[in-house]
Amino acid sequence: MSSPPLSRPRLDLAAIRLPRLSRESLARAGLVALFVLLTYQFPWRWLRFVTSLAVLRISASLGMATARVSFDTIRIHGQLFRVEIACTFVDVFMGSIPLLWDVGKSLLRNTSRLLAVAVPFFGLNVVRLEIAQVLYARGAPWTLADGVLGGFAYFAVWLFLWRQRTWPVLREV
Amino acid sequence: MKRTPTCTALAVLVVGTVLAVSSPTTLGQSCSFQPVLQGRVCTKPGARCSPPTVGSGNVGQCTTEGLRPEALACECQGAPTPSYNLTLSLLTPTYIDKDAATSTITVVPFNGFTGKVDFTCTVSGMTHPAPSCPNPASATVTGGAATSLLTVSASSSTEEGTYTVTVSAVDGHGRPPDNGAQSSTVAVSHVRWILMGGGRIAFLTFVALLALWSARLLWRDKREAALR
Repeated sequence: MSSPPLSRPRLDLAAIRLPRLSRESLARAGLVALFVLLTYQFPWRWLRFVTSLAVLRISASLGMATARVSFDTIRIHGQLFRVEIACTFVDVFMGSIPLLWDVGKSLLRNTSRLLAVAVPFFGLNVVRLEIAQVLYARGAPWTLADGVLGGFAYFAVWLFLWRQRTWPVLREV
Repeated sequence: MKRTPTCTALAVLVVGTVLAVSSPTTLGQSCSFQPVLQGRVCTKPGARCSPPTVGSGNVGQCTTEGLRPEALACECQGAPTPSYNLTLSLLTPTYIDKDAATSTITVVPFNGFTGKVDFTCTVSGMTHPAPSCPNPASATVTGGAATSLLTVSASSSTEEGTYTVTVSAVDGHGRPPDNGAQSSTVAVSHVRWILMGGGRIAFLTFVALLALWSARLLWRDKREAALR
């Protein structure tokens, strides 16, 4: 006689219902969209300059031939790179504000927290841009070097925000 | 009465002081820099009044000062002449490849200036062929400031380099703007541009990673629920 097979839990995919988001989640998501939209209404010239300056300096320290062309444009190894708003991560930071804001804390504490987050965000952005520059200089396609790496950087920020959240994501049943 | 050397010295000192205090122009035939109405001055008889931004003004005239016919002063008399200034915004973008950069020319009238202003555009630079710059359309001032659009175009045959674009103007009477011709710079580069920032690929990558992550979370939760 053969022994009965080990019982394994079976997943009934048809029975899976997608969880419903809480109202707070929806409100915060709406604010994220609003904040990002608002971000793109400003030129952010100073931040584009600072970002391009950081990339320029780091690239130069790595032995690349660099030159500044304009406030937002740099030349690295003869190639012109223009720093757009998305390149500064300011959209990511602004979009993070509604997700990081803790309604139970004071304005000052929330502001301090946001400022504390802004610095590592800027650092992460510069690092990913510089890695993109190095990869591109070594022959990697720009789409891969900048685009895919950028996607991973956004995802890293998302994981951070997910762990830092102070609000219920799903509606309580 | 005998004059003492001390009195002579005192007289010389008094005369010297008077000369030093009085305007130096009263000794010669040149005019003084005497500020007059609306802050305009002229430097010599027949010269235009300045500063020009206040208005071309009338030509300075020499007049006598007080009762001394040898003392002349230059004054800008009469109503200031209607005139205009020219401003040129920065050419944007500052770098062009096979496209065009634009700038706004603004005619700022003063002293009641009205009328048509014609523009001439010239491009100068160290390399050739330079970008082309057709003469901007004329602007007509009826009351406030009037504007016109300046366009500088480059093609694939345009030599790379930095160029100075100068806009000159004349009004209906052939008079140039008080502040003269205005210039801006534009650079031509045929190197391919790369826009940093990730763009669509970064967004798609993020969405793909987010989908995988969400699926993993969902799977884990359901599996735990099934095991319970």
